[in-house]
Amino acid sequence: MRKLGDIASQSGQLSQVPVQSLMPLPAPYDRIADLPPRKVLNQKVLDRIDTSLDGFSALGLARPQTPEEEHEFVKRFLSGLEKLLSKENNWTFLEQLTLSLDHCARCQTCVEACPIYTASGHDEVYRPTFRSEVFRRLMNEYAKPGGKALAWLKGEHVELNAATLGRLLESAYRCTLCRRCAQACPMGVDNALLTREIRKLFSMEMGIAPKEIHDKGSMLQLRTGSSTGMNARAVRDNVAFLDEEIRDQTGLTIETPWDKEGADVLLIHNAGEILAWLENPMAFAIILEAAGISWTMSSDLAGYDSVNYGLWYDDAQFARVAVKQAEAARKLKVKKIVLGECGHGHKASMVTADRILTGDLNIPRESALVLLRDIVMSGRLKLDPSRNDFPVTLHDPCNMVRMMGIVEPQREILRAICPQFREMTPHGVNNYCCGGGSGFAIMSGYNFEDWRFSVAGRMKLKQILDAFADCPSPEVKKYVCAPCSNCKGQFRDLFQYYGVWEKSGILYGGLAELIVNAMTDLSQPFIKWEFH
Amino acid sequence: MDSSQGILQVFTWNNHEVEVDEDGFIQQPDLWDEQLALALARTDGVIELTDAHWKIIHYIRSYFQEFEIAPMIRKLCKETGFSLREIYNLFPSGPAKGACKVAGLPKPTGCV
Amino acid sequence: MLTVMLISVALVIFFAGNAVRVVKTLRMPAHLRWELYPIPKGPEERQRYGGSYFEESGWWTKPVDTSHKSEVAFVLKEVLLLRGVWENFRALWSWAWLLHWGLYLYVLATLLALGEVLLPAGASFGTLHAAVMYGYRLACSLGLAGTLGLLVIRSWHPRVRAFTTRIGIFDLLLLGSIFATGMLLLTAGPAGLHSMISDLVRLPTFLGNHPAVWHIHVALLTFFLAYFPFTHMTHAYMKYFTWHRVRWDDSPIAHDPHAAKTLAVNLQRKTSWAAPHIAAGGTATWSEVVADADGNGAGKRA
Repeated sequence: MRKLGDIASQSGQLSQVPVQSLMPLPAPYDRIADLPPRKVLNQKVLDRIDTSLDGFSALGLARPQTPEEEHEFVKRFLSGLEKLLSKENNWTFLEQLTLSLDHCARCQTCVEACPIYTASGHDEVYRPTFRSEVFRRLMNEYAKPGGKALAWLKGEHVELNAATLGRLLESAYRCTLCRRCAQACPMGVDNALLTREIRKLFSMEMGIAPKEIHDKGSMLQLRTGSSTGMNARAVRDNVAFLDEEIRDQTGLTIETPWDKEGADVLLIHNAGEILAWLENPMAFAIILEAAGISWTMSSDLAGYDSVNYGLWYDDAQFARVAVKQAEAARKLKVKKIVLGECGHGHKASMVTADRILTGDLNIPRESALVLLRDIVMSGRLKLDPSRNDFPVTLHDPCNMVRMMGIVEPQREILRAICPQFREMTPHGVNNYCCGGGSGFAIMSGYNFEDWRFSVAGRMKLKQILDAFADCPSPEVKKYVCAPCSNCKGQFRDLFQYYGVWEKSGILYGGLAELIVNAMTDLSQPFIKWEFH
Repeated sequence: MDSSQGILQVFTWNNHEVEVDEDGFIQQPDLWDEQLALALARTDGVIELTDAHWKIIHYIRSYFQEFEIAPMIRKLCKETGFSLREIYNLFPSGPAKGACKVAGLPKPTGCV
Repeated sequence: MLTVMLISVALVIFFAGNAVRVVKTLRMPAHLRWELYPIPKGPEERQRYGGSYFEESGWWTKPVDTSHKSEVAFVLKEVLLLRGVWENFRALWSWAWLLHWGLYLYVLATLLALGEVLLPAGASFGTLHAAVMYGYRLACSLGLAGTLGLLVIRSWHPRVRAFTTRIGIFDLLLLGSIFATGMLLLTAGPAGLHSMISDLVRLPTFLGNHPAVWHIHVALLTFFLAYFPFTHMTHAYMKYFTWHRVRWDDSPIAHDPHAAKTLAVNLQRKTSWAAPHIAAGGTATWSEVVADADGNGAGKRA
């Protein structure tokens, strides 16, 4: 890509994202020949879907086949642009949107903060201001009075055609909404917010969103109760299996309480934990029982899955899920909701939904990290840090940390129970995203995974390897504590792709598992050093 | 032009046709039968389905029919008596992307 | 007379344009929260690492910190030192800093000059006059250096080059010519820049003889005043909104009894989002859309 206007070019791909231009990784990950080859899409697929941004596809957007289809596509986009500027349709984010559209000085102060742009070797299509500036110019030129003439005068004309829109849409799925760039902006402009507004327009007006997030995500959750597709019967069956596993592994008899009215705590996990990282909900059950907490889980629709994918792309879906979750808690008359180790679930429920939940739906919501900190610090559990005597580093999920300021509770725990705890650089509110944020960790269509591992997760991988630079041997088993399902999904796939377990002996997992691993009541270590 | 669905492809076997997603998962689990299972297995390089394969496939299928979702992997291992490694030996793409696909389940969804 | 009229019109546009922008933003609907840490609120030891009230158990029962001390300190660092640019784009910082201080000093010198004209002459009058003189001189030197540097960076630095458009260059040239003509006026003797304000205020002498550069300077200023409200330069005060009302707005409903009322208004707004899972059709309200949780389209039933 040479200039911003190239986004409208009718042919060609704006970037090839050459492997040799990417930010180098430390040895032994520096040998390009050792990496899995990029997936080659077959010609039939390539003929139909739009890969003209960078050769990758997150959505499999079908190109319009006729001029009429293209005209219709553009027309629907334009009507969406106007709706974004209206109070009726976008009261949720109108103020933030207009502020970010109107006050960018184009100074590029923000761009180096972006882990995707920098790890790509400064590929211009991933510059965080690229998609925002295209979007800003489209808005100014096509949705405001006198826009055409002004765009010409200012030298900011952008051609609007199907190619522009196909690339803009894909590029809105090359940003993890981590908001590091927003932290750097001296004006308070937020590129991630603009990215999300682009996604919203396509979803809410045109019905276009990644199927993992929409059809098989929020829609499935509203239909079955969970984006995993688990209905109430399935989740109870699965959790009963976890109780059984606890018995088999630890000898403890625990029966997870379901739908217990008036409990102090309604614990809502990311339901993916129950299926894919069962050690985490098991660890929670062990800790809560050992600490004598009055808790319950809910089998109501959405009451057992804290995910809310709408946070990433759609206000209507967001509000629908948030309200369903709150209704489940209201029905049980619990004192508070405690959100399990799920970053976006934290932010969705505790922050973004706060001004949607009216009256008695606005039930107090607390982070599990805070509850765990209180339990660990209270001395109610007998913990022996020497059981965790292996190198541990901490990943800060963007949603909990940069967007919620929950920084210290998890650190207080780790400092107390992990003698070899070390920080990554940078960390806390300045952390780097895992590369799976904003839905990427569950998106795997077409060749998107190649991009997710080689570009989006690159900075994080380097950061993790650097944190363990003093003990790189695979013989020394190491642990990345990632208190977020989405981040764990990304680490699992990223580590698998690069062979991190084999080459470096790095395992990932949650925070609750480390606590249980230190419990002296258990005869066996809780953490199994097997990659999964 | 509803592109939120992604693009489906047609998988042809024995003169039958079924729609599959880009990872080869069939879209309508009701169309599944044992012959389709074999055809799907072959796309993953599994030439013949042994009793061991069928034990896993049938467990997954019956769990799916009861709960409308794939069984969790640990449960699959426990109930069928195969270790995860053995399942990988039988289905090289693994339990989710291999065994569940052959058993005619849709692709797993959500944060898993 | 024409000049006076034009200046008056420009001043009206300046104040009205900025006021409209502020009022429009103030009247926007109460939006959803979208805060970003670190937020300069709460206990100092927590601010050091960017922590929030969410770190406390039972946070909704704890008192809220209402002090704005840290917010003010943050804003001062941003305004006076351009902290964000310093931390993230050092090559741009020196020039941006010079330009901003040029502007601050120009405004300051002008205010002092107004004082000089309006206040009765007193003992300290000489000092005030000197301050105006030095103020303008410094303002124009810094401002001009800053603009020239920024023009170079904007045109050649690989980090910004591709994002520099005609309008960006125009804005810099406009500011640059204001500072340059100001410099020329400073060297043009008694009818120079320091007397401009008095000339403008004391209309009788205003119509007197002035060099061409005086007229150019006044014309540029006039244009700038009328142009300013329509540019991103309004960030000068709109940062109140981007920072205080968005990035730092972490106030929960639990602490705000009035929020429910504005929320009720929002949920009764009619929406027309057209995707099949919403299909609101302009007749369904947001609360209907939210209640239609099976995603079959609220409008289809309405």
